[in-house]
Amino acid sequence: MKKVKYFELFLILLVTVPFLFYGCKKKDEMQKAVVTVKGSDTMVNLSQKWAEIYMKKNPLVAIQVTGGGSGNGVASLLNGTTDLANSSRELKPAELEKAKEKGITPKVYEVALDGIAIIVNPENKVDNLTIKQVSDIFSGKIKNWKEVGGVDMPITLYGRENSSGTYEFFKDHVLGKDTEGKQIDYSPSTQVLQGTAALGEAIARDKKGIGYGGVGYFAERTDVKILHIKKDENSPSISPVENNKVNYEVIWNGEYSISRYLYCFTNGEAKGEVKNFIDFIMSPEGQDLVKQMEYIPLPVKK
Amino acid sequence: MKSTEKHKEFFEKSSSSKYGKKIKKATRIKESSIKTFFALNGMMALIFIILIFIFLFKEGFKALEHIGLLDFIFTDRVSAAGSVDRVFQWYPTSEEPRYSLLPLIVGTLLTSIPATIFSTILGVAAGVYLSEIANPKIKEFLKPMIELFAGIPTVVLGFIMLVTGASFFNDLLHPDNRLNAFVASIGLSFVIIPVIASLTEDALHSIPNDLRMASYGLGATKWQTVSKVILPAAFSGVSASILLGFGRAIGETMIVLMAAGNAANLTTDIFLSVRTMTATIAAEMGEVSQGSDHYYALFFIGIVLFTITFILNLVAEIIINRMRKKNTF
Repeated sequence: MKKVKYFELFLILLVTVPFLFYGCKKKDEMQKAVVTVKGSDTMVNLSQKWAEIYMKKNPLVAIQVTGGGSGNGVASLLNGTTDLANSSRELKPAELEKAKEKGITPKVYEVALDGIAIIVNPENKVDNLTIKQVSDIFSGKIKNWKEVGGVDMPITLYGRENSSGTYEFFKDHVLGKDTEGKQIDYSPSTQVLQGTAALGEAIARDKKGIGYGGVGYFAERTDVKILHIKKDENSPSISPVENNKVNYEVIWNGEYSISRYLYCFTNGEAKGEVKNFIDFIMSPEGQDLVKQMEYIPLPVKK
Repeated sequence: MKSTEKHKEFFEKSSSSKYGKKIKKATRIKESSIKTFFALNGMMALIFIILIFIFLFKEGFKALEHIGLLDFIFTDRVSAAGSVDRVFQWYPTSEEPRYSLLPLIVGTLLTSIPATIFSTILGVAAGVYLSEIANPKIKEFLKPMIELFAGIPTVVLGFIMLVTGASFFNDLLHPDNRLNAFVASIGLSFVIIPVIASLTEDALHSIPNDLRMASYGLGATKWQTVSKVILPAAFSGVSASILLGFGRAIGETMIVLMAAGNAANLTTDIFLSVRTMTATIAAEMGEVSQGSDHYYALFFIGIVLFTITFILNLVAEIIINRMRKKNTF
C-alpha cells in the first residue's frame, strides 16, 4: 500500500508542480510592465547595466536583456518578439525591405559609440600600421610581419564569427573594396573565435597574432598591445587609448577612424515604457554608464 | 492439479468479494497506465528521430532550391579581366556568397581521422589490458573509471586544450597556428578513447574462454594468444567500436569549436587551423537571420553531418549484431 501511495503522490506532483510555477510567473508579470531588449552581443553588457539601474529607479518595470547578435535582434524586432533591438550596425537594405513587407517602420536611435582597436601581442615590435596595411594583412596579402617592419615571422589572423556585428563593421570600414569595387573578404586562414574575450586571450598567448575588438574592452589590458593607426601614409598615427584610458576626443573628431555608432531600433516611434527607457539611455546618467562600461559616450552637444 | 484449483478458488473469491474487485480494478488501471507510459517512452526515441529527420530535410532541401548542389562544392568567380577562378571557399555572408562545403568536410576529416587513429591505438590497448591482462580487482576499479572519463563535459576538455594543451604543443612543435587540427584531434581523443576502450573490452569479453584455453594448451604465450587468437576473433567487434568512435569524433562540437582555430582553410596540413562542419553550425546558427540562404546552407551542413554519422552508426550496429549472433554457441 505504501508504494502505491508514493506512486500516486508522484503522479499528482508531476502534474501539479508545473502549474504552481506557471502561476507564480503569471503573478509577477501582471505587476510589472515588461520591456524586452534583444540584439548585439557587443551591447549586451551595456544594455544590462542600463536595465539594472533603470529598474532600480523604476521598480514597476522589468527589462529583459538578451544577446544573440545584431542580426538576431533586428529579426526579432521584425517578428514582433522584442520591443527594442540593439544593433552595432545600421539596418541592411534587405532588412529594411523585410520591414516594409511587414508594414514596420523601424526608428533608429544612436545611443553610444564603439571604437575598434587592432591588437597584437606585447612582444611584437610593430607599433603602428596604416589602414591599408591592416586591410592587406587581414585579406591575406601581407603574410609576414617583416613586410610591415616587424621581425621575420608569419602572421596569424584572429577574427570573429561571420554573424557578429564587429566582423561586418571591420569588413566594411577596414578591409574595404578592391580596385574593381568588390568587397574584399577576410583571408580564409583567419581563425574564428567566439567573442572578444577569447580573442584577447588568444593574442596574449600568440606572438604572431593580430586581431580586433572593442577599444573599451582592451584599454586596460596589459597582456595585449593596441596599435596606433594611420588613416594613410601621411596622416599622424593615432592610438585610441592613452595611459590605459580610452581617448574619447580622437574618436569623436574622427582622427581615429575605426569607430562606429551603436544603435537601438524600435518598431515605429517609441511609446510608453520603451520611450522612458530610451530617454534614460540618452540622459547624462545613461551616458555616464556608457563610460563606466568602457564604451564611448555620445559626443557632448554644445 | 491441486494448486490450480486453489488458484481458481482464490480468484473467484477475490473477484466476488467487493474489496477484491476494487483492488483489481485499481491495479488494472495502474498496470495499464504504467504500461502506456513506458511504451510511450520507448517510442519517444523513434518519434524524435523521425521528426528530426523530417525537419532537417525539409529545411535543408530548401538550400538546394536557393543555392544548388554544385555551389556546395565550388564557385566559379569571374574576375574583371574575364578569367574564371574555381574557388572552394566558405563565405556565406560575403557580398558574393560562396558556399563550398569542401573546406569544412576536409576540416572535419582532418580532426577526426587523426583522433580516431590515436584513440584506436590507445583505446584498443586499454581494452585488451582490461579484458585479458588486468586482474579482476583492478578491472573492477578501472572500468568504471574509464566510463567516468567519458562523462567529462566536452566543453571542459575544449577549454583545457584551448588554454593549456595548445600552449604545450606550441612550445613543443612550433606549429604555424597555435590552435590547429592536431590540438583539436588530441582533445577529441580524450572523448573517443573511453568509447573505444569500453566497447573493445566488451567485444573481447564475449570471446568464449575455450579459445584462450586452446591457445594456451598449444603452448602460446599471452601476447601470442591476444594478438593471434583473441583480437582476430573479436575483429568485427573491435572495428565496430572504432567506427562508433569515429562517428563520435565527427559529431563532436565543443572541442573542435574551441581548439581547432576555426579558419575555413582548405588544407591537408594538420598543423594549420581548420574548421569543422559542427563548429560552423554552432558558431553561425545563433545569429543567422532565419529564412536566408545562409540559414538553409547551415541546415544542409546538418544533413551532410547527419547522413555521415547515421551511416557510420548503422554499419557499426550491423557489425555488432552479427558478432552477437556469431558468438552465441
